[in-house]
Amino acid sequence: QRSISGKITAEDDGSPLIGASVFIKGSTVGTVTDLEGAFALQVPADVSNILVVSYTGYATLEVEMGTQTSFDLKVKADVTLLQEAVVTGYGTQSRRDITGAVASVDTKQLLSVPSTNVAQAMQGRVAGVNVSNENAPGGGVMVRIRGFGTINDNSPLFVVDGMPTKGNLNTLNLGDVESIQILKDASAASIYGSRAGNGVVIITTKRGKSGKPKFTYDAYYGQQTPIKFLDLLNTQEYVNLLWESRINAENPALLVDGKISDPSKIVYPNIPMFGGAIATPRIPDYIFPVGAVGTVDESKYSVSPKNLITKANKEGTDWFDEIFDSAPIQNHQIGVSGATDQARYSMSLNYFDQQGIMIHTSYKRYSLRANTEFKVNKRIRLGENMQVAYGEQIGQPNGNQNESNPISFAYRVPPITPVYDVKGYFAGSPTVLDNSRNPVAELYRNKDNAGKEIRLFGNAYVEADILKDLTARSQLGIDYGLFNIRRYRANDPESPEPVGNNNLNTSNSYDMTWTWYNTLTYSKSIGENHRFTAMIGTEAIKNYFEFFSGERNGFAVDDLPNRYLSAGRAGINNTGGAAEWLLASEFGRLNYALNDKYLIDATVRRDRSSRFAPEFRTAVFPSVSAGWVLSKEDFLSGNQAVTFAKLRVGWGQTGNQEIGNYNAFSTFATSPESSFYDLSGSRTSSQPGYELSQFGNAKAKWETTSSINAGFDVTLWSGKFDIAFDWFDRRTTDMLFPVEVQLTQGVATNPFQNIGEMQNTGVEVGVNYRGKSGEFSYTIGANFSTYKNTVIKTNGDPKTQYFGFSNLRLPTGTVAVTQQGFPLASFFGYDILGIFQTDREAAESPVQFGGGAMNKAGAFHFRDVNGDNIINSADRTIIGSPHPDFTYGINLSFNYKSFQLDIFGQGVQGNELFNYVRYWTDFPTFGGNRTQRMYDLSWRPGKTDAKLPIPRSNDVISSNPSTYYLEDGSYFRLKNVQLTYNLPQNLISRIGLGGLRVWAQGQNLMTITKYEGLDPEVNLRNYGAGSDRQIGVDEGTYPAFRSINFGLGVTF
Amino acid sequence: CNEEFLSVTPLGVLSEATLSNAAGVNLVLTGAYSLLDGVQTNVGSAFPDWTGSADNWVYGSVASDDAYKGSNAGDQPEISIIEAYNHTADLTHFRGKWRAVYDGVARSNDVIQLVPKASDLSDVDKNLAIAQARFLRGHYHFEARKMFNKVPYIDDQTYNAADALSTKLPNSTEIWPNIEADLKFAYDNLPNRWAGAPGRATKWAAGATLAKAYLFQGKYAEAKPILENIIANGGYKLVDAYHDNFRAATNNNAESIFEIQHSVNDGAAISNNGNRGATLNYPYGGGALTTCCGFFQPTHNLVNAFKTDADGLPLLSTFNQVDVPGDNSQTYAGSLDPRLDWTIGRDGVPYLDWGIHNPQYIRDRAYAGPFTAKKNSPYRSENGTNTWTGNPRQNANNYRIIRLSHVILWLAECEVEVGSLDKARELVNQIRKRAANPNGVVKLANGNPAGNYVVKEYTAAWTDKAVARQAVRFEQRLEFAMEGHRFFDLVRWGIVDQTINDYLTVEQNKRSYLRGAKFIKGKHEYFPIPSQEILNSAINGVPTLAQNPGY
Repeated sequence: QRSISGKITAEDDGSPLIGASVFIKGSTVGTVTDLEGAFALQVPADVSNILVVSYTGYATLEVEMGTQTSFDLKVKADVTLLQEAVVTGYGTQSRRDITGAVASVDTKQLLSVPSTNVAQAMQGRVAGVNVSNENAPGGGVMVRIRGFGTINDNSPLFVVDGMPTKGNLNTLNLGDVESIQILKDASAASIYGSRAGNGVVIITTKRGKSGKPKFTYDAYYGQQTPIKFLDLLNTQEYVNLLWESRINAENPALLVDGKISDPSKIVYPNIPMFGGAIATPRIPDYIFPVGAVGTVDESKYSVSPKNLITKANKEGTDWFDEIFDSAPIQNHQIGVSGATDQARYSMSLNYFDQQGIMIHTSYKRYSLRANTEFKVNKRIRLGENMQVAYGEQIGQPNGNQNESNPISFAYRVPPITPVYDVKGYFAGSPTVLDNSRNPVAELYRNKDNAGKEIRLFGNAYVEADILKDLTARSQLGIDYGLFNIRRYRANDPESPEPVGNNNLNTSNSYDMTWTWYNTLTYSKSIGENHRFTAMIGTEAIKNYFEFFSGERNGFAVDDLPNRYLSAGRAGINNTGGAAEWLLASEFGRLNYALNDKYLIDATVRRDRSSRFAPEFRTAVFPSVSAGWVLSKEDFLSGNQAVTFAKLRVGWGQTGNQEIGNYNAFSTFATSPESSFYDLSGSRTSSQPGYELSQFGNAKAKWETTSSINAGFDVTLWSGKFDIAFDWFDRRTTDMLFPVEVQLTQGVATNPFQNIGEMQNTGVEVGVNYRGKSGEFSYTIGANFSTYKNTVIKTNGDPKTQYFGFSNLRLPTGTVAVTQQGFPLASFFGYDILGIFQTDREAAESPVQFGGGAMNKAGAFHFRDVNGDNIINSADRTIIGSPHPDFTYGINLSFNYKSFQLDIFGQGVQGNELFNYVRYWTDFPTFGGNRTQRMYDLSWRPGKTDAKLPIPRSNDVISSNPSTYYLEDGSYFRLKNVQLTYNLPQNLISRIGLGGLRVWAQGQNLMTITKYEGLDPEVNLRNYGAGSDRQIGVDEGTYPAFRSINFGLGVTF
Repeated sequence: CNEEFLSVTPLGVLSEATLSNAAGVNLVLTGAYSLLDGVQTNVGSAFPDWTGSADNWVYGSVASDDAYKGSNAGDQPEISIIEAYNHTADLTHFRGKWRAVYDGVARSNDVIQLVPKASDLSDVDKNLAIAQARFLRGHYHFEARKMFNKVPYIDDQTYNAADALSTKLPNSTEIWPNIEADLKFAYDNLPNRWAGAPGRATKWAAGATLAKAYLFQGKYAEAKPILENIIANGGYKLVDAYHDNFRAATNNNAESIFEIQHSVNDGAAISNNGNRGATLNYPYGGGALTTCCGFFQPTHNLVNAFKTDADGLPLLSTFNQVDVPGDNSQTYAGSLDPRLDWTIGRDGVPYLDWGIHNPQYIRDRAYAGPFTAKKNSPYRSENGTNTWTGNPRQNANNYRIIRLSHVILWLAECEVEVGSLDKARELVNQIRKRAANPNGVVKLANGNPAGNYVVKEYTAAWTDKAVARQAVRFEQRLEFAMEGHRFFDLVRWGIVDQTINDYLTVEQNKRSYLRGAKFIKGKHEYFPIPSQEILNSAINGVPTLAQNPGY
């Protein structure tokens, strides 16, 4: 044994390489360099004589040590990251050898932006990957890879340390992520077969690196502030508009060309709140007692009997300002990692706490991870990767995108209502101004309804080198989640429609998946020219889910310690159920490289799923891809500019099994709600009954997505510039869809049937340029992607229309339709040509919805789509698309000495959004607040540039789904601007630290968009399966926020 | 892994084989009854509960001259569209009703198909189960027929639960004969009463429904003997107090022939068996027991219909010339039929035991007038017992779909048509006599009647069939107002277009949103077949269902 030491520097600029691995080849003896690039190592006698230096981004250096004890080594910058090992399905490959469309995410960049969820952080980072998130703390995230492959579920498969999951990733601590690869095309993904139809995201967590234990502490703290609210009316404007629209409604005979012809005959609106039937409404001093003016004896205040006393807010309450506020976010992570020649270890402890900008909403996470690997002997390795996490979310009551959530109430509540009444209790709105609840009260009362989740996620494995080139691996993974929430609803005596009786719902569920896979990998090089790797494997997966929930009402007091089921006296109710599914698979892969020039990669997987009937449960998913490394050819080998160039082409098939668990079975179910009946006439009990609950379809088979990918990777000027380009065509056939069964068959869950075809084509480009000038260096990166989605076939009938959700208030149902020849979830409604300026013009036009006021000046002029000279629901048509023309991301990074500046922006171009909020705020429907736009841009005689029809309170037609709601959803958002400072080494070592990094960051500092809603980042209405049939409908989404964060990272 | 690893059994549900026994038949039959209320939630439903409601408040009352949608302009605009006869085939409401009745049909057929497989069931019990299921199947089809005119009849030969395409039948054949056959079988095979189970269909319920089906076809001669049989042998009698037909405490009383049973606090979430179909139709505020949602407000025309002349008789032709004021500050000098104040909430009159009806009970008076619905409401004193503890809007006040008063007035119709005018008058007078019971009127706290109530029997003979017909029909309007029958009665009487257009001419001066509304003869008698159902009925791209005329 002897001691060696030395220093590692970069060849080009002589800067020390910090954290480079230095080890003895063929052994586990090694260390990492310190902040000055220095290392020291004890070399045992029985190891090789080769010293290896490896550092990401640099070529691996091997040095024969001889008897030398001191080394001053310079390493060359590698041409890009071509040597980087990329984790693909059930193994790793060198980036140089990859022939499919595999994107690696720069995790350092990715993790620099505070996020709850790793999927959320991927937004804008990778070409071809569209991410949209709910913005609420702990909220949902949508990831769509290369468009929408099916009318069904389009969420990708996540594989974390070899363990597949489709569940939510909130409980995966971002700080633990080492690398992320995205398998975008089928040639890369089909090794995951039936669950890879929408792409695969492979996440690897951090392992220990050779060297002494390294302690790290990373933290950030930030303040988040809301960006934008809706521009709503104050009390005076609100009342003016109310009066105008009521007068127009109640005096139709007087309206000539939109003008009151004889003011002496006007019938004025009779609303006692505003002084009864008078020409100019009077804003009262009190809203309770209704419309009171002057002094009210406030001593008579009483909750029961109800005699609430509430002053009018004559200026108007800014409800958005009341429910949004700046809020802190913080994250702390402690880690320790290292490795010896017998073991590798990495442990971390994380605390994340995001308070929502919406008051009383939050998400917290505590997580503990331990990844270890032990070498039992030269041939056998044992290891585990395990995380246990606890997450706690307080969301907004009734969830995102819901007409009864606080955001909706913030525009639905009239401005005259104050937040509090004269006694300081929450104030309610007068019933004449409709039924909105007080959103501040809603949030306050919901503040203790935390959803609590515990998730155990991890695996243990054994790896054995059976022969020199033959390795066997067996891994058993577990994903166990527990969820609990006690959702309490307190009485709201102030509300126009109070709940009547406080109630509590407690629900619990657990979900358990185990995955066991075994692989056998044989890698061999034959001579200089042939390299190949062959792998075969099996996998078995079992999932089991069970839930129950209970409910009671009539709690004596609302106090927190009393919010348990037993404390309720009535309304006792409970429900529960379970489901399971299983998957058994065999798979294989062959990689072959000839002269490192010609690459072939073939995979095949056979899946059998319990979700299909036995005759149809087996499917085989093959793929093949090839690569040609042009830069190795003679005609390019001497080229100074072209460092590396590779052409790639691939074809493969993947599947989708998201059809529920028991699609093949016809079943009868019982439920008190829909199959019980009080045959005995007791009034307070009912006899149990059963009903057919599911039509089985035993004939359903796998949905198949075939995709072709062609692309190239080129690196120029020794790595200064690189570009990756891909073109793809994905076509899904036998698309599984729960075809609506005609109702004469009865009502039961519609079975999934193999119908339809869908196609996505597009291109993806990613470029990077690295420049350097003295001590100043910079990187410019950009990505760009498109997809074009077309429904090739539904059920064979071009007229068939599958609608999205019809739970919107809009008359005649739905706004999104899926139809042959159009993109998935196209917008559907009337086409508005303009606004009638005169009665005559209106009268000469087709009869609109029976005529009358809809054929008078000031009414919308609808397009007669079918040309029958009548405007009715037959004139609805496809009016827009929620799919963007392209999406892009831009990343800039500047380094000067110890400073680094990173700028990241991301955008979407050419999509339309359906701003459903306008139903509430731009039309005289419910009695809530209205936009300044409606106040200013409603039609009045002579106002030829009006955007909205004449205000008329009984107009229920103009608010039909139409082009009026559509807006350009394009935006560019400056997601991140971050300045980092690495403290100089001499300073750090003086205070005994290994390294110290501090940073300041601004998130979402700027958004460029024409969209007038709260936030243009509205992709999916919600985040469950089936939600892709209604994309881009904004029901008042939780808005994005701006934040300023400060962070530090310390190494000991 | 072998195949055994992959075999699963659905959890928490049953297969048909498990239910193929006596207990199973009863369970599935109960499931078929359970759709009588028209409300179902088994599948994440986009159809609001009231769209299929058994009481047909939208289609039978709002679409007639009895009721407005109510509430305010913006809420549930589809109902406004129906109210103003602008409706099209794609309204969710029609599909919701279609869905409810045909699911009822499917559940009935499930019973009929299951019975032969239940080997432990005696022949007598098999027959009783089939008879109940056929009653239900007839009833559900009857609802479909009166709503949608051209509809398919789905029987147990056609229906196959395992083949999703089995029920794509054309609607080109008249289904009254099938309805009659099912109801006739039930009438011939069901018992007079079920001990302890008033919710089950009886011989008399089947007979009355069969007679009603005849009346819808103008087959008075066929209807008459059945109606007479029910009166003579059914064992029913008019209850003394008219209002006992509209309160939970007197559900299933001596007058009831068939009720849709509502139950509360029975373990169903959101009290789904507690008359969810009427969940919007309660007063809105101002100290009312309920605070939502102010729908289903009576028309001024209906209120005026309750006026009586000095003889205590209705003003058959002139009732709508002067309004009964809705504003509390004015009083109506004339006399009123006391049934008015059991049917309609109006200011100054006690609203059950809730207190005095006041303007705050209404959500938007200027929009939909000063009156509220009353027959479906629960009592404040029964809050928490006959109402759901979570919300009193869900209550156990049964919907009496057929009671003896129906049978009496239907028989009166028959008597008119066969020329027995005195018999008809005597039958109508039975109803009026009960209405006049001084103990059965709404009273103020001091014990005095809440209005100037004068209602008397027809003492003078009716001069001709036309007069008699008008009186009988008017009596049905008063007796069954706001109960979801009016529109369908107007259609079967063949007077719907004139009645509605006359009504609209006047009413549009009170309700501005009705301006321009017009009932089109030959079209609006029936509601359109839901357009999506026509699409979904396609076989190889060709729809099997055809639309009704005019849509």
